[in-house]
Amino acid sequence: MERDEQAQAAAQALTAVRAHQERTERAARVPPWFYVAMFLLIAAVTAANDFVTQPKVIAAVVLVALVVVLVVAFAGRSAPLSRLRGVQRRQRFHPRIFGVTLLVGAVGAWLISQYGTAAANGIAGGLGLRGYPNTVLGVVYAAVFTALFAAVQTMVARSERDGR
Amino acid sequence: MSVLSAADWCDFAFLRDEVALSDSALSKQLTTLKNDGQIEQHRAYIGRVPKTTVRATDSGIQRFREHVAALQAIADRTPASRGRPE
Repeated sequence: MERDEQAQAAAQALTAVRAHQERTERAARVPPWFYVAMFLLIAAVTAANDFVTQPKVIAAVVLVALVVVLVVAFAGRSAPLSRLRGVQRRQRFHPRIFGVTLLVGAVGAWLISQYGTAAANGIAGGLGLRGYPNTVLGVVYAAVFTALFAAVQTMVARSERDGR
Repeated sequence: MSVLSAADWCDFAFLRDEVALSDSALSKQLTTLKNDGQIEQHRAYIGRVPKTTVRATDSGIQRFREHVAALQAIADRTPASRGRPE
């Protein structure tokens, strides 16, 4: 009888542990708006080449913003978004995920450098947007990079969960 | 520790809200864990406002996992578990 009570108490404690871990993981994961912002930013920066006479200015602004984020992240040893939310997800180095990401990224970059412009012109022509090839290319870039980022986040989260 | 095991670090305020403890009760718990080497605390100032972050140490995580494994072993001793087909 006492053993059953102990087992029940242990099961309840385990449930509480899992609930805490899941809530924390949810609070620390990349929020959905971040993916939307990432997609829009990549698409907008690339599309700017179709609309702005001096796209280098926009590229410089984005570069400066990236440098600021990197400096803040390295100086504070945490991402600015995590500092705002008060929690940072556990991130260990996962060689397998790093390798897959590197491979997919390298293949993607090679494909873009080889066929990106021609493909964008073809798609833009097909859609009747012949004058906006960079906009089309921007949407494609944004979709690919956002999907890659989301896939990495999912793989890391799953790997962390399996490691607990 | 269950919260800290799922995060790299978190703020004192985040931890307090997650575990639903008062500031003083949480401080006492954290002091005990810190003295035992299971967590690290880091205090920084933003202007004049102190901000404390808490992180589980590697040994703290290891000991927490052992604790969870022990709980799992006890929970598995229920009659329902024993009767469950493999």
